[in-house]
Order: sequence, then structure tokens, then C-alpha cells
Amino acid sequence: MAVLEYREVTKLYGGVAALDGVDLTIEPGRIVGLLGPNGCGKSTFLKLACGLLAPTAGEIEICGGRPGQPATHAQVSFLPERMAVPVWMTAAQLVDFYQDFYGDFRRDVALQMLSDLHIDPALRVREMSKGTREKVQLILAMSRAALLYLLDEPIGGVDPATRDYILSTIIANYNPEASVIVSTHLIADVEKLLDEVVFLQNGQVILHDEVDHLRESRGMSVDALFREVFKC
Amino acid sequence: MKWQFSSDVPIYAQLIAQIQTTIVSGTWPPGERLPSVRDLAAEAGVNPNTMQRAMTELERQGLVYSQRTAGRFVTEDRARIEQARLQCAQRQIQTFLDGMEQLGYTREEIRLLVEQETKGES
Amino acid sequence: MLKKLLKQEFLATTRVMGILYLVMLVLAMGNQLLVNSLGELGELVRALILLMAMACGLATVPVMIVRFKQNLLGDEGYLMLTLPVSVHQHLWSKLIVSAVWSALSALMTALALNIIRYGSEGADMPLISINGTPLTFGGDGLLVAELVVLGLVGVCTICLQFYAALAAGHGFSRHKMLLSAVWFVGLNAATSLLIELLPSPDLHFRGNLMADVHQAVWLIIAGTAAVGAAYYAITVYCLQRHLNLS
Repeated sequence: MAVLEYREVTKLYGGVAALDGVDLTIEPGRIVGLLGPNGCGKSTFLKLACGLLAPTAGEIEICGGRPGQPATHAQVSFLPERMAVPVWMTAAQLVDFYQDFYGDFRRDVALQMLSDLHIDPALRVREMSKGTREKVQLILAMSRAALLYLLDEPIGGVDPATRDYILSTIIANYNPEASVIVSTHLIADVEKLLDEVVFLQNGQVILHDEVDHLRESRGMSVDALFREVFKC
Repeated sequence: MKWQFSSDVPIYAQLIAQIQTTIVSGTWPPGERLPSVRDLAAEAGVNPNTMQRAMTELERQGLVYSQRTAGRFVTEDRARIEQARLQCAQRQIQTFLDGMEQLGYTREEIRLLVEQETKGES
Repeated sequence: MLKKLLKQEFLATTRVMGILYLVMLVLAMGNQLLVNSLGELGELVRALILLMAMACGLATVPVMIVRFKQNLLGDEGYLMLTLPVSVHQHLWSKLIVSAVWSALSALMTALALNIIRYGSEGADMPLISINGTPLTFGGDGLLVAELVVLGLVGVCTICLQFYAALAAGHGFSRHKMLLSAVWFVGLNAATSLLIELLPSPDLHFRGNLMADVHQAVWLIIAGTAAVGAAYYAITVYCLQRHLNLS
């Protein structure tokens, strides 16, 4: 059964379509890249999936339920593209917070990752650099054993070494029942990680295919294909 | 092992080629137990499904075999490894010849050049 | 889950409320030192300090409303509204915390006022009095309890009116705060209109003053709670169906 299914989903912002009749199904065990230029609807797509936005038309099914229900929230780990954790909390308090609310939270994994990335648990979010804040949010999201991970630009603001660490974390967390959707414009970095890619343009899915199939049939990397498709 | 990927060939095909090299070169000797798919995928930075696909193909080729509980091993059939080694060599030579032909060398010229080049080394 | 939310709410609001209470107490204590040394000017300063101390007490509701907007409709909403928690639990945790802080603020304000009064003329007069005659509620403990309930229900309803207006206004894609204000005014108008239109209840005054007062207070509590329930329904509907976090 699909972990995420969009049926003719449209989202209008004041008459302008951020998402336009999207039909998409994501199967379990897949790592999917949601790719497209800025403003193509990537964030809107993810926010609709976790119920932070209501679709103007169409239907969304996520982990067998509707978006925005407590039961689906319990199975979906969402990493927003902005800072959403309260700035007055320390990393350790955030770990407690996640453990309080999420039954699938793995405290040991979170603490290990904090120590791997040299983040002091006693540090308040307010006192952290932008990059460290992003790492903390990502650690919290990845430390859950969720059925679906929705990661909005998870590697945008971190250095290449951390980027590698984060990507290997996503692989190490891989679970054949679970799926990961990563939105990014840094395609070269994530390409090897992906099973399939979805190209979004002006709110529409213009391409949805397996990475290896694309490389085989087009004779180029997804990164190169992206540059060709979205040539300015 | 070092993993390197070029951009235009499917990743699973590149994984197969690189693991073949590791086996025929003896880096992974016959009978050696392989790391888990997940660990290998994390090491290479690739999708675990892709690594799984490469392993399935290597199993089909008879270079590795899996035991239900114990894991996956390099084959102990040395003749099979030798055969694969020869295939790898033939592929290398073919690539080399194609490149030389593009430069406009005839087979005879190539043979002479190779002889000259290897004489100094031995 | 409600328990966990409450824990989080108290953790988050204690710092702000703690500062408010501290300011109140410092003002009240400072008043004692100032007034005696300032002479003529002292009375003016006293009046100012009195006002400021009361403002701190009254700040509770605005603090709770800002907390609602920041925590659910701002960036933190991305975290809070994707927790495995229902909108009802979110709202109840906010209401309970608001009620608790309001009650505590009332006590703190009374304490501050008493400190300020201490040593001044008429300090021996009771705090609540009509022309020097203490208002004792006729020694009726029940009435005091009823007034406390009314106060708490009232605070919740005021909060809910702001919550409903904010939640509705933030359902739009643009001009969220302006539209929230429009919604607030609209809710106000609709509520007064409804109260006008509804037939006034047929009260049976039994000639017994206290019994009548009890009856009236309960009626006001019920009416306030009904209005609050309507605002609650609007807030839940907006948060569940028309969320539009930017």
C-alpha cells in the first residue's frame, strides 16, 4: 500500500496555483527526490502532506489516513525548511520534548548524533549558529523511526562534511517499510541516494521516474538532466 | 574500498563493476563475508535499494552467494572468479583499443607502442 | 498527551509570567521606599506605581494571546501542529494554562496592592469597600466561588475570542493580521447582536436578594460559557480545516 498518494491536488494562493492538479503515488521503501527551482511548489507539496495547508481541491492520503490527524502525525516525521523549534529550549530539552510526544523517538540515536556533530546538549537554540540549528532539527526528525520522512531542504545550509554525514544518516536509517521524500535543489549531492525523482515546475509534476532508468535512457545524470530541463 | 561514480552510467551498473574489481583483484578473497547491504550502501553513499539490486545481479553472475542467515559471501569457485577477471581485462582492453582507434592508430601501431612501453618496465 | 502539552505550556510561559510578577513586587516594594522620601510628589508616584502593578496583572491575557499566535500560527506551528496531538488538546492546554495564570495574577495583584497600601492612610480599610463599608459578600462563600468561576470562564471566553479571530484570519493567504482584526470586530458585533435578539430570560425573583444574585451570576456564567463554546468551535474548525501556515 502506498505511503503517500496525491489525487488531483491543487492549492491556490490568492488565485495563483502553487500546486496544480498533482497526481503522485509514493510506495514504501523508497527514497524520493522532490526537485525543482525555487517557488515550484516543493514546500507547498510537503506542507499539504502534513496538514499545515488545506488543499483547494483534490485528495491526499498519507500512511492510510488524512493529513493533519494525530494518528498520521505519529507516523510522519516532518522537517520544515524554517526554524520551528522554540528558541529558548536547549538541545537536551528538545530531545525530552520529542521523546514526550513521539513513541517512535530513539533517544540514544539522537544523543549519539548530537555528540557526533559536536553539539553541546546544554546549548540553547537561541545561542546556536544557523547551521547548528538546522543540524539539531534534522537530528530530531531523523531520530524518529517513522513510516514517512518529509525533509524540506535538509542540507541547504550545512557544510559539505556535515552534508555527507547527514546523507549517510539517511541511508543508515533506511527501513524497507519506510519512505523518505527529500526536497532539494542540490541534486548532485543527493542523486546517488535516490530511488526516484519528481521534477516539479510551476506546481506541476513534469517528470517522475527511477534515477537509474533516467540515467540509462537519457545517458546523463539527473543533475545534468535537471540543468537541461530548467535551463534559464 | 574507494567508491567513485561517473555521472552518465546507471549507478547500479557502476556498483557491479566496482564490486567485480574488488573481488577479482583479491581485495575480497574467495569465501570472504561481505558487509551488509545497508553498511555497503552507507559506505558508498548510495541508495540501499540500488546496492541490493547490484548484489542480486552479482549473485546471478555467480560471483557472490547468500546464505539465509549467515549473510552474503564471495564465491569459493576460483574458476568463476578467474573467468570474471578475464572478462574485466577484456573490457579494459576493448576500452583502450576504442580510445586508440579514435586517435587514428592501427592495430599494428598499437601493438608496437604497447611493446615499447612495457619493455622499459620489465 | 494533554498532560505533556500542559507541561510544555507551563515551561514556556513561566519565564514571561515570572518576570511580570517580579516587576510587580519590585514596584510594590519600591513604592514603600519612594513614597516616604518624596513627600508631596509621593502621592503621584504612588498612583503611577499602582497603575503599573495593576497593568502587570492585566497583562496575563495579552501574554496568553501572543503565546497562542506564536506557538500555533507562527514558525513554531510547524512543530506544534505536526505533533500527534488533536486540535482540541492544543486548545484545552492553552485555556487551562491561561486560567491558572489569570488566577495567580489576580492573587499577585492583590498582594502587590496590599504591599503598596501598607503604611499609607486608610491601610486599615478593607481592600474592597463601598464608602468605607467593607463588601463581605454577606459572608457567602458560595457567591465568592461563583464569582471565581465567572472570572475563569470570562478569561477563557476572552482568550477564545482572540483565538478564533486569529485562527480565522490566518486561514487567508495574505493580510493575516488585518483579517484577524476584521474577524475580531465581526465576532464582537455578531455576539452583541445575538444577545440583543435572544429573548431575555424570564427570571423569577423570589424577593430573596441573595438567591436572586446567585441565579443572576449562574445565568451570566452560562451565557459567557455558551459564547466561549461558539468561539471554540470556530477556532477548532479553522485550525483543522483551513490551516494556511505561510
